[in-house]
Amino acid sequence: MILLGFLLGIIYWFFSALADSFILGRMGFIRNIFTPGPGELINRLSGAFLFMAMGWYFRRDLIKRKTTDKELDSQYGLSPLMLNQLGSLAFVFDRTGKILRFNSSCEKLTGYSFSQVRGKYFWKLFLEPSKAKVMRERLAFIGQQDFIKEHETVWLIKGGKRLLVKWSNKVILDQGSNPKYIVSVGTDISEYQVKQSLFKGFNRQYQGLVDSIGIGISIVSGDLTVVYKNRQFKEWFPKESASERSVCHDLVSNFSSKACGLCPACKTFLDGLSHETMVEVNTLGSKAAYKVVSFPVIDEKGKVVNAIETVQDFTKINQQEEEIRHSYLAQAVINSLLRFSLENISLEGFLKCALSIILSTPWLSAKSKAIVYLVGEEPETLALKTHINLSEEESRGLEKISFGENLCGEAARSARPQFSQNEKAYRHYYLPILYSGVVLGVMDIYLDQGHIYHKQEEEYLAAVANTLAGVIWRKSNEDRFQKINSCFVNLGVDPLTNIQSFVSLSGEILEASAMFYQRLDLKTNVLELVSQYLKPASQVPELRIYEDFCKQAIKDNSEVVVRDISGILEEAKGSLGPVDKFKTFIGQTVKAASGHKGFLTGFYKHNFRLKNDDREFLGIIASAISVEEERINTKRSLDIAYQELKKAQQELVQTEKLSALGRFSSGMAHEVKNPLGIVLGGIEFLEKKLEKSDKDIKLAIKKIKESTLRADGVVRNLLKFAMPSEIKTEKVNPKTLINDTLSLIRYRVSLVNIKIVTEFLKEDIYISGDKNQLQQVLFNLITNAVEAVPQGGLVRTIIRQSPAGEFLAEAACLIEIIDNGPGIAKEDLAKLFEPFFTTKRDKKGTGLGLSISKIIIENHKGMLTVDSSPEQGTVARIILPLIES
Amino acid sequence: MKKILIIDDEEDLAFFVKANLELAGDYQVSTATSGKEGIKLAARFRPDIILLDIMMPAMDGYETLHKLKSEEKTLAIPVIMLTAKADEDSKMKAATLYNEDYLVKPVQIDVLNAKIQEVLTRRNS
Repeated sequence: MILLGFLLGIIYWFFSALADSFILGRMGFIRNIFTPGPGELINRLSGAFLFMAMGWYFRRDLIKRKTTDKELDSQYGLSPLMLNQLGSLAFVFDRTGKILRFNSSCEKLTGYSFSQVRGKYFWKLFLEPSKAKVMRERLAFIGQQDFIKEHETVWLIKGGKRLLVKWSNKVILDQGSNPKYIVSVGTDISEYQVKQSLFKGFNRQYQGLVDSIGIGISIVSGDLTVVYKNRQFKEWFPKESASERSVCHDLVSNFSSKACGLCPACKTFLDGLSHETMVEVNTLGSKAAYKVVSFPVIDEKGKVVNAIETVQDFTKINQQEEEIRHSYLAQAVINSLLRFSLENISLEGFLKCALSIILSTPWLSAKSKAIVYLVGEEPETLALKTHINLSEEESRGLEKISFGENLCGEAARSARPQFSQNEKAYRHYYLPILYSGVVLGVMDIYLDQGHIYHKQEEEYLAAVANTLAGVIWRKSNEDRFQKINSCFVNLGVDPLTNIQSFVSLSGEILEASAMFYQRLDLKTNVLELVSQYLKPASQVPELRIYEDFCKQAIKDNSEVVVRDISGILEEAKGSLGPVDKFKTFIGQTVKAASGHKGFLTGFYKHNFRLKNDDREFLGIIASAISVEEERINTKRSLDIAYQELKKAQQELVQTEKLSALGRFSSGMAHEVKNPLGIVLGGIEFLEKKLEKSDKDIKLAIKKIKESTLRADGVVRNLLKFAMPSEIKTEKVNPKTLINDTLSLIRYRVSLVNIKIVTEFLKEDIYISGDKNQLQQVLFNLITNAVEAVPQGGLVRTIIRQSPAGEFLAEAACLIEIIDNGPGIAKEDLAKLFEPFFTTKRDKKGTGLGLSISKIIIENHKGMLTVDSSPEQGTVARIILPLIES
Repeated sequence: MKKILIIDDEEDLAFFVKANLELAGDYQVSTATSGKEGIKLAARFRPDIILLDIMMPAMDGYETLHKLKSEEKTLAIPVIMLTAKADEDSKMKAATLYNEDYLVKPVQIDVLNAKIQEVLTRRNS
């Protein structure tokens, strides 16, 4: 190295001479080499000397490095090869920070080769400027003790990348015990740090979760010491109030320091399984309940190292369970009351039973004494209705309480529950019995002395009182319902349906003093509805006075009319009797599909204001009545229709019977008539042949002949009936017709002393018809009449003119044959026109006369009727259309 | 003595009519039980009057009447129709066809005799 310095000195000399020659133009080059001027000499000498000094210096440094290398390699075993074997980062520097060794891992990590960094300060190369300065200063004054064994340092490597390296330092001292070499072995922890920061984040979250979970968590070690508590656990069991042992263990084992084998943690340590138990802790007078569950933490060898205890607060859950139990019991009591209310017992009986049921509520610390007061007849007064277990002495003076008089009265006045706190006597709950906001009474429950007010109890009793209210209202109105019921029974409507409708729809019956339904067409009161204060009927006001109100309401098409009638009554006072007690009149019009049918009228003792409920209730009754009105109308129409249908059916049957008879008769006639002809021929033959025989034989022959002819008559009539002759119409004067007929009968009639009178119209009227057939009809009817009356009887034959619409659509001729005979029985009257029906079997009637007559008249587009009643005689009417005269 | 022919499928009926007529008046009565037989008999027997039943099997009274009125030998013989049929149709048919008389069975011998006399008198006049 010295030689190199010398050489460089010579070269410098040489080049300086050359420079002087050419640049400065001074003398020749050779001359300048060897004979420099004094200035140049000094310049050249100093330059050469400098180079030589540099050579010396570098030589010395090289020697030193060799010495150091030798020392590190052989004495301390820190050869590059050795350090490369380490696998982790390793480098050696002297106490100034010069790098002496730099293993392959460092090369790989930093991107610098050992030769590039050798002899350079590591702090200058790798540390941030600020940190580098600090490091240089520290190294300058560092002692052995000052060296940090382990530290994490950020290294800047090639490309500006930053790495976090965790270094472990080993200091090699010189003989003076000063640091000589420092060996740093490190690990790149950049990724680890990132993961660790992430982990810390997770950990924080987890911790937050564990703390906010609402469950106390503690970790108990094998000696039952708590090694971890979450926030909830600390809150429930503050350090000052608990030992360092498991809280549950302390509670179960009574603070034993030894394993108890009973608490969940101890059990878990014993069998490695999960266990749970309930513990109660009394804190500041209140009782808290916890559910403790232990879970084992098992290591790799399967040994239980820790037990995790979770603690859940069951205080609220227990309270809720208790509340649910109370609600259930309350509901059970209410259900019992409702069930009981359906029994057919009196209101008083029900209330007694109800009080027994209420007092049997297990959690209600009531005495077995209670009273029910109901609002009495006097306004704003409570009257003792029933009590339970009160002695006569106790109940004395409680019969009547005015509203606001005491706490009981106050409960009634304010409609709010009251609690008496009298120290020396029983305590009471006074519960107003409220129905739709109206106080019906007060329930008084006796409690123990010193009983503390409990809101839950009050709420329960209020609910019971409300239930009672419904039942009391219903029971006390049952009587009124029955009245309504009976009214609707009278109306014909299903009462049960209506009552149910009233209860569900109205909710409350109108407080009517008297209420009536009056039909517009009939001046009768159909419905007597409610009478709360008066026995109605006898004290009904004169309805006519108020008809005008209702008629006006109908005219105005308004449904309800309300009038103050006190003035009107005042004027009429005295004449109306008890009516003057009424102050308000209400009229509700009743409409049906066919129009207004009538009105409901209500009379009230007080100034009545119609509420919506009342309107609804009135409307319901009005509807029920209108339905009934419709029903009555429909029934009437149906009855008429039914009667007509029945009649039509009978006629149809009759027609069918006649038709069948006709078909039958036609075929039969021939078959009967021939044999009849033979019989008749035979009889007449015998009659002739036995003309001279004895009279008995002749009488017998005569009888046989008569019967044969009678049979023949029946068959002839039957054939006429079956096949009526064609009508040969002509203009007929009924007078002539009757006179002609009477001329045929008069002879017979005169024999039996019967009077026949004719009552004819003066003027002549005419009909169109078959004279012979009509004469046959008249003959039948007059003969019937004559045969019906006894000797000396009277038969009237009347002709009169019937106006259009009376019997027929057009004007008609009415011929009446009236007898004063015994009349026809009702059952016979219905069968009168049936073929073969006769009441004259003894008089040889065939039973076909009237049926044939009816057919003949009907063929003439007329009507034949017979009206009769026993002992009243009979009227036979022939009605035939008139023709113009 | 007047000759009467009874044409009726009811033999018993014809028998009693014959017997009663013979008892009632001076009649010679023959009977036939069918229309066909009656026509033959009428031609041969030449009755003064024929009593003819309408409702007969095979050839009914109307057809028999028609044939009697078609034959020259029997054309002028008056006929009294006898039938169980009492309807207007039957009467009209008999009347309008040949203007003959009509009686409804069963007929009393007096009525029949009177009718025969009436018809014979009318014929003779």
